[in-house]
Amino acid sequence: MSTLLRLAILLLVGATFGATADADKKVCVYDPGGRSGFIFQFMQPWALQTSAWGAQATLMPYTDEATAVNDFAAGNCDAVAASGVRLQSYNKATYTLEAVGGVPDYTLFNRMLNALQTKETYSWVFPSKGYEVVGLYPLGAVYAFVNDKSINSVETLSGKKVATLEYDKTSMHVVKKLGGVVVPVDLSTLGPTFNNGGAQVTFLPATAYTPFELWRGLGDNGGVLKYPLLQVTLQIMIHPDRFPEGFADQSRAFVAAHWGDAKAAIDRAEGEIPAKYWMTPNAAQQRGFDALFQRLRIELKDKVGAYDGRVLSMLKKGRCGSDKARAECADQLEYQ
Amino acid sequence: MRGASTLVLVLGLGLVGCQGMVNKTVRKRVVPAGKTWTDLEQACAFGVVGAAAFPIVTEKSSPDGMMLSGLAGGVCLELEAWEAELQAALVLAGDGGSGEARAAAAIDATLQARRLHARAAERFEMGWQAWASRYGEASDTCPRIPTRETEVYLVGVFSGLLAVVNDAAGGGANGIPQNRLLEVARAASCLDDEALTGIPAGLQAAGWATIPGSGPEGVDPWTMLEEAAQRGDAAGQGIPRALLVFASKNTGQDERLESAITAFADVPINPEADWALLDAYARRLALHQADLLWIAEKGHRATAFGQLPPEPVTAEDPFGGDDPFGSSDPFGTPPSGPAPSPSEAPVEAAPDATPDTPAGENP
Repeated sequence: MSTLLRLAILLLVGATFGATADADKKVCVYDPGGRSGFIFQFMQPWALQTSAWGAQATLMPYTDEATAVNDFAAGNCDAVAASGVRLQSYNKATYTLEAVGGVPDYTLFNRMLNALQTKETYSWVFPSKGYEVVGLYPLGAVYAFVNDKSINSVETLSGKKVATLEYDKTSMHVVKKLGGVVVPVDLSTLGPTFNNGGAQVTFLPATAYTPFELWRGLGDNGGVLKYPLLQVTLQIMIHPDRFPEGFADQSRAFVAAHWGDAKAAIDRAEGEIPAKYWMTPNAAQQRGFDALFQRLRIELKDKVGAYDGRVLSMLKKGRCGSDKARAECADQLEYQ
Repeated sequence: MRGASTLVLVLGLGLVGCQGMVNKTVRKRVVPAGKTWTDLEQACAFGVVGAAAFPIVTEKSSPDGMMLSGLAGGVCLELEAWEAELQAALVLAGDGGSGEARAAAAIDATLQARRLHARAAERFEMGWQAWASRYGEASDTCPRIPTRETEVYLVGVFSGLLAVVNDAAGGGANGIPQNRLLEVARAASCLDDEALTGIPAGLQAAGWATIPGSGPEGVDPWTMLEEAAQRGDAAGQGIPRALLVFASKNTGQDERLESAITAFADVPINPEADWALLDAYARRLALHQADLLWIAEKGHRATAFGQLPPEPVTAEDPFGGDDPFGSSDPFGTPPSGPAPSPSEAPVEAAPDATPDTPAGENP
């Protein structure tokens, strides 16, 4: 073979390798605030870093989550960043991280996400149905926003009108079990429904407070129950065959190390809620919520099939590992 | 520089006067003069000096002066931030260096852009806070706006919009609340949309298009934005169209973004336009967005204002599969007729000339 021909082949191979390993990857990112939103902003360091892993990610903002996920499923996006609840049909295990009452505080959640994303022993959690989750960012705890501070316990939630995202079947189930009256909403009607009194309660992370001006609905008598119903996650999911080998591991390790990028936005949002609105339930009320949450988790696993039992077991080990005094730690429920 | 000399006039008055006189001068002289400038760098020089000077030369700070300085001074840093964004895009579009090195260079440029956006937001916020100190909270009720204050009112409102946009791009360093877009929309609703050629409607619609469900029932913010852009176009005022560009980009509506950019090319610059300064800003914003599209596609900035990168040439046969030249070689021996004239003859020898046709020799 002539030297020239060998060189030509080498160049061709090099060009092909370069195109495959470092090609642009379209990542469809759900952020209700679009490109200016906090999700889009904290994802930028991740996107820039991807070129070091052989796949340059380009973030595309989507203000409608269903469209982002549909475009991903149709193959129009190489990856998608959306909430766990929206991606639940693709990966039950990672969705279960958002289980009701699954993670009561941010310190524990940070430790959990860090371990999950960096230890080989948990690698089974991420691939599912031909897709793979390559990053889990926190999006904040979901709290009950109530227009009357007397709504502060499981009992007092009964009979109240609760604005609930209509696509979130788990929340629908939870509200019904609480004895609440579901007022189905989507993201465009959620704010106005609560603010105009169409619902007395809504479950949201603090990041919704300022953009939706929820103080209008809270009024003078309302409050925010400082007891996390669940933790929302932003999950980055890919078509694995479109990314180079090793990408998923590097991505998860990066996301785990950048927990603070997302947490800073959460802290800022929670800090924007005036102290006068926060209500911390007393010990008895907390026990009431914990017991209800446990019943709901088991029911959602066994009867609805929404949760993954192995992940529920991990979450319980985490909760009892950080606080052995929890009532649930005396029983063997949820362990596998 | 006109910006600096105008400021000297204001400062001179300030040194001998008080807040009221400075405000009056800003309203009567500075804003009417400044709004006709088309040189953004000149306006920004004015803003930087003014932001430092107004609080010194007046017993209390001059809200009018601070609104204008905040807006103009913020633009300086925003322009620098845009340049850093382009540098990051150029790094990513290039193919030099290792992946690690490219990532590090792109991250560095992006961090620089963030810092600059954050600092720009700080200046813009100064303009908004000056607005709020004069007109109060942007509530559902409009404040009393004397006719002579319409222009500074608009300056403050626009500064408030740019504050939240830049703060978001700067990673939220200044903690400017996201409902600012709605505050701006409410404040803008108090202005005469006809007199201000679609700017107030554009400001309202941009906020409603960004925050789901925030607008009045039955109003489509995108239709409102498009209509405002057309009103602006007719008057040679690009701000409503720039708001359409911003909102489209922000929500990932690529087709709408591209259409808004190309439509800008058909809007001639009107040197007599009211608020030529804002028009100049609007055009720079659209050019920046076009530059980003060009760099992603072609690796360099836009070749002309209002133009998009050309679509890649497809490998399709435009003739539908039929060889229009038949079986004969169109570049070979002509069937008959005279030899081509020198002007028609190929300039360069064909690289694949056949052995029986020596290079440089006509067949």
